[in-house]
Amino acid sequence: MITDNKIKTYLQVNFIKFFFYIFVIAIGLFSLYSLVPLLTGVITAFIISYLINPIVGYFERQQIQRIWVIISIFIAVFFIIAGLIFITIEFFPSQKSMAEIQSKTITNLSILKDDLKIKYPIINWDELNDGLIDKIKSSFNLTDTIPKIISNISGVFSLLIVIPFTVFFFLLNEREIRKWLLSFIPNKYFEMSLITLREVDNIFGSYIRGTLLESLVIGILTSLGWYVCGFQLGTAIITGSIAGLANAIPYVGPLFGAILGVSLYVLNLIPIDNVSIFGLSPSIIKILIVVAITQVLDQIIKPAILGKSVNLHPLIVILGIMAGSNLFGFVGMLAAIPVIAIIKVVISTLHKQLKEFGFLSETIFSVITQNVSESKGSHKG
Amino acid sequence: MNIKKNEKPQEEQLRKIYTPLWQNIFRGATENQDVDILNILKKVPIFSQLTKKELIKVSYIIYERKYATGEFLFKEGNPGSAVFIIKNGTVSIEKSNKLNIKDVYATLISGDFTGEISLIEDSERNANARCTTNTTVIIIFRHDLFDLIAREPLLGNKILKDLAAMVTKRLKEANEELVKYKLLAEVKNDH
Repeated sequence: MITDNKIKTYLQVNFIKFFFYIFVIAIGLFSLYSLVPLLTGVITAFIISYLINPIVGYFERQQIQRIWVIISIFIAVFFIIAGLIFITIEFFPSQKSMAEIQSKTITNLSILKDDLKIKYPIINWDELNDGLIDKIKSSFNLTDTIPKIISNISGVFSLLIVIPFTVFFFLLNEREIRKWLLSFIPNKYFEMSLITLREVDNIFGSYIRGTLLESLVIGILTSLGWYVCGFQLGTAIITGSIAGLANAIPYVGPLFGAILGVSLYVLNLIPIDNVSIFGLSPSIIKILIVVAITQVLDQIIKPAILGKSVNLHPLIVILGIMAGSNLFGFVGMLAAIPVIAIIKVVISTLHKQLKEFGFLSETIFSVITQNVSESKGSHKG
Repeated sequence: MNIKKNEKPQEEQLRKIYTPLWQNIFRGATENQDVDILNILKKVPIFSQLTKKELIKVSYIIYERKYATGEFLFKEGNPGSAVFIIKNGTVSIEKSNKLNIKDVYATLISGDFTGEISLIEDSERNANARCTTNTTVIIIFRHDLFDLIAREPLLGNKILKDLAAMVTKRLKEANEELVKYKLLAEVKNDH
């Protein structure tokens, strides 16, 4: 009878356990499912807060409370973004001149086409030109593009709310979130996880900050260079910043900067000249020289800033960038290398720590024998 | 001296020399269970000078974890990077000798702490810490503590001063023990 009762209570307890776990898992899956559309926002917020965290830490060391540091950073970022928007509106042509720009762009393109046709007749430039002109006409056609922009706005708007809020709380409760995540780690691996997390923080943090600093330097240099080339100041600053940001993508980024400069030339935003050297206008050559100079400087700056914190093989870099662009477009290209870097750093650090703590030399046999000897020991005691 | 006949006299002497050394350093608490974290922290020598406000700042960087009987806080040879303060329960500091017999160096109770060497330098653990009952411990990670010291210089000064005092105290005691041991050896040689 007693055993029957025991079995009964055992089953009851396990039923309760079973349903409890099912319940928890169901809720977890449901909330994950409902969060899927916001996942990009949350991940972006995580990356941004990871970037800002060291800055917050620095000011915290200067005896300023964390919350005030975060609020000040938010205000500063707000003003920077507002300033950029202001510059963009200033330099962006009004509706009136849109048609003008369109026609000028088309004539510029055809001049370029004629030049190239003489130099490299092997390629069918006419077809390429027609395709490009079609694209330009459709993109200048505001009746088509405005609805598209508005339909995208709702998505952008939700991101605009999600990202700042998430960043704010990620930053504010960084320690609590870290503690909460660490509370899931078994005791045996706890100290190792602390060390691993710290090392990953150090390596990846210095990599990200280095890349940002590098982007900043390149952005400033490119802006200056393009200003010298004859861009308006606003145009130079904006396109320079974009080129600097793109520079965070190895190999592809510099090319992107060059393409941006040339396309701006074609869009007639810089003075045009009809002389040509090697079938190219001197303005384009100037742009290419600026890109080349910044790249050479970058190769000198990079080792000084980045050191050898994250060394990735060029093949991995190229394949990673392509995979990233396949999956998530431009953002994927930008994020691919940091993501690959963090995976590499996590795996190598974890491997090192597992080895140091002797978890890798543990075989099933040694674990069993150890447990047996431990239980024997405790019986003796 | 009371030396049991079945134990090797030398080993017994060594144990007599070492045990009080460990006990003195880790002791510092009353047997009051269920006291809150601030009280526990206050009992730790390196935090004894801190005000309540400063102790609260320390309490932000701690991790509280539960260990079952037989679980290890750390094992000999592991890289050490954290200090463990026992909130409640008991932990034995032990080392297996060549014959695979455990030598217990100290038993820690609520308010005692261990692993403080790892606060000073990046070294391996030199003994096992095994929970002999279900134990709750407060863990402070070295880098977190040093970040705190960098953020709060006044608080940091107090902690570092006490850490230095603790090390000095231990050095003095170790010297005294060494003198005793040398005397013992001399007496033995004379015989």
